[in-house]
Amino acid sequence: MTVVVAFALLLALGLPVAFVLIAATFAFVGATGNLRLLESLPQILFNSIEVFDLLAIPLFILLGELMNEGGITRRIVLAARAWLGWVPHSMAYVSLSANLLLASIMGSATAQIAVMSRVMVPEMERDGYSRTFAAALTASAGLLGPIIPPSMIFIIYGVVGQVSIKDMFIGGILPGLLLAALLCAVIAFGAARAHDGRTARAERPDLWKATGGALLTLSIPAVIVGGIAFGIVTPTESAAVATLLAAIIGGVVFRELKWAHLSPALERTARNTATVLFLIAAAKVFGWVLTFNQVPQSAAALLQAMTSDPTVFMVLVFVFLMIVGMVLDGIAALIVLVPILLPIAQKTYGIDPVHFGVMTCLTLTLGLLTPPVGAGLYVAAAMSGAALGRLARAILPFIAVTCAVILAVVFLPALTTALR
Amino acid sequence: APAAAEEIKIGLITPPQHVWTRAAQHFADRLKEKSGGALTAAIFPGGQLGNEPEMFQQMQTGLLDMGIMTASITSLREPSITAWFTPFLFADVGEAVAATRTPAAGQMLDNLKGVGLQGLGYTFAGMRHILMRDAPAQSLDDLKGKKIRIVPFPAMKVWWEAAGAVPTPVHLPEIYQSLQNGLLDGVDIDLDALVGSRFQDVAKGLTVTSHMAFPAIAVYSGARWQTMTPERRELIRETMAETLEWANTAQIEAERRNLESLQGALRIETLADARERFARANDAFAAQFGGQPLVKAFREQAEAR
Amino acid sequence: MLRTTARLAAGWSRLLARAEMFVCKALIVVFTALLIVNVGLRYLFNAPLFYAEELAIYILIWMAFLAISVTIHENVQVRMTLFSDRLTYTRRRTLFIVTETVAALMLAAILYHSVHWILSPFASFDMAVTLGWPKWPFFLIIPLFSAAALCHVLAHLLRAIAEAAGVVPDPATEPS
Ligand code: NA
Ligand code: NA
Repeated sequence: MTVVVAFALLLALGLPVAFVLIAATFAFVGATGNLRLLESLPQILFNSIEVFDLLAIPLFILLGELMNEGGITRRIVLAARAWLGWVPHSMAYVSLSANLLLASIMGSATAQIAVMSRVMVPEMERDGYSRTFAAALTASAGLLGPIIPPSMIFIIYGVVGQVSIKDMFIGGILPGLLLAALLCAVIAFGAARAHDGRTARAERPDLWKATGGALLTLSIPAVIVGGIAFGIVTPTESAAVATLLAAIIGGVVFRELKWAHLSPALERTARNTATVLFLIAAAKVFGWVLTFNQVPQSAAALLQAMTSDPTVFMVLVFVFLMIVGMVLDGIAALIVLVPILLPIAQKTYGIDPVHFGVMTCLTLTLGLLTPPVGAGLYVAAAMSGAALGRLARAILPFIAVTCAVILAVVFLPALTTALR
Repeated sequence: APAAAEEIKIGLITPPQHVWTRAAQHFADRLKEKSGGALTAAIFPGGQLGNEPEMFQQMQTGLLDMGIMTASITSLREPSITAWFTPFLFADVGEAVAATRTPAAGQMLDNLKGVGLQGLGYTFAGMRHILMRDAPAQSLDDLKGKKIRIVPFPAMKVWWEAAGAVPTPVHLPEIYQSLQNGLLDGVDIDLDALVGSRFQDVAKGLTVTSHMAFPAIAVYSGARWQTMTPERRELIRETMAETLEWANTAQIEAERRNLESLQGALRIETLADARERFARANDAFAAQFGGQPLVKAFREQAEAR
Repeated sequence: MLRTTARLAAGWSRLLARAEMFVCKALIVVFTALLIVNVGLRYLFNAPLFYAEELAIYILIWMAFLAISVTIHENVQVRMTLFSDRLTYTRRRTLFIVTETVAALMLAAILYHSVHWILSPFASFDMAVTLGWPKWPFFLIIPLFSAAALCHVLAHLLRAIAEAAGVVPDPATEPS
């Protein structure tokens, strides 16, 4: 109770969210009286960033910066507009398609949101969309990252729950496509309101000229996709190599990237990385203290006592994970809760582990977008410059569709098992 | 008056189904039973409380009571533990289990006091074998220049480098994809991990070499151990000894079952003369680590059995 | 007195932030280059750097914490402003003094515990596995970060208090 009050109060007072999480940790430690927990704080802080995947965040931010400064992004968007400009709200669809493409490469939603918020939001803004709508669309489209294979969270679920990773990947395809379709629907119905009234039909540049300009730039996604697919680079390394390529194309070929651009680009990279990683570190610290005191574990045990029907159990778990996802990092929550929930789901209710896994991973991934602790939300806000409060409101319809997809998964197990 | 029930916290990095985690559960159940409910244990598997260096730190400050820690990471704190990775010292898990009763193995546990830990005993994952993305390896020539995922610690790195391969540290969740796309050519692995992570879906050849054992060490926080009554220490020792015996028997059985379940899923090659074929790598290990008195003593005692 | 201290503190804080940012930029270049070189060595020469990933992560950790300190100096960390946006400048400043005090106390606590941690014999047992180096020099970033961030926060506090005391120009009373 102390923790909840401290949390809400400090958040409202305007203390940076990362500090709010650390303060909640202090409050919780104070409430348990085990002050030795504080001795571990510095090391947990250090280890919270000692994760190889996190390197992808600064690398993809830097890649985005160099692509913007070197005129690469502009050329890609120009080409996309030349081809798709006849569709109403084409830029929103371009953003979504780009996300879908990227989702087939990237395993982490946070990294994907980082890249796309940097690249697509300014372009959508130029086309007359409000920054918050653009950021909300980009953040929620980023959820496709871990749903469409490959997927870091599915792999971790597979390892923790001893479930076939291949089956998990296949299980994610239909829900991922369903989510993409529903996001299209949100664009079709919601984009007009988020648009400033200028023509939503973008002016069309010359088709062939625009395509020619973009061809070379397509080598960047090609290097990322091909490099990973053929085992030349890891996803993280692909960002580093793509950065080098972007610097060469922007600096040598297009001659738009100058030495003078480099220092500010690095500064923005440092700043944006810091904003995201501070939140991630603080969330880890808070999550660790909760786990140590077995808060999520006890809550999960309560669930079992509540029903004997498998579907009701799935719905309860969904609601429970939504709440957990509000305050815990998805992967941390997965590692803590799957060992408790999966055996119950399998043995007591006879639920297919892939079906259960896809639902669990989707719900915890959605947690990236739900306040108060949502790395994806913070990343989108930090990268696009949208105000956090307004973004949190603009994202509600997108959260609603994602919930609809998850509920569809709950009630239609075939969505996850049919392709197997 | 009877003391209020007390709960100890046990941390480990293995997932829930792993034999080490099941051992921790067995320990918790027996402890509760034997203490008449006065002492219970909460288990944090899957690295919930952090990676092993973090858990060591937590045990050293007395925050975490107990852990079942890989000998590889423990050997960074107590180098004599490297003795357990002497290549081809044991033909199977059963022989490794027998070696836990040597005086040298006991000495290693005692030495842990120097780093704030109370060693309680050993348990084992399966023996290490070689999983290849393509055909199973028959000789050092088949491994030359191949990128093999290893657990990054000195003994394994030295051995694999001398074998002519390119030891590559890749994180556990990334092995699957790295095998699939060819970033890795092979993995130094035990069968529990192979079957548990379903690497048979993305690899074709298994060479059964049993080239190393892979022990874990049950350790208690030295700071917490100090505060316990002699009776309680004895209770924990006794329960742990029973547990480890149970776990080690289970592991011997698991090794057989795992190999059986892989029949048909992979091409399996068993190298009877693996020790000779890997002589160059074995010599490199001996040159680098074999000179340490405790490593030497352990080898002699284990071979004498 | 208060005025001079606040000015001095602000100056030092700015200087410190500039130095931190300079190091950050260099570190980003270094880890990006390290990963590219490693890909080249592995793909072209089949001789990857065994320690590349681990070293890159430690560089990232240093970069991240230095950059976090800079963002604390610049006051650009993510915060909820729905409520404080509706207040007058003077009220907002009072709130700011409260929140910065809370932040300062936490940073001081982290600084205290991290110094203890680094000095404890146990921290010296930790090894950077693939590098084969002791890990404690990398840990130094935590006390370094908490000390630097504490400086920045104290500078903010002094400035806000000096403003409230009327010894430096108060933006609230100036025409905007
Ligand atoms: Na993906
Ligand atoms: Na959330």
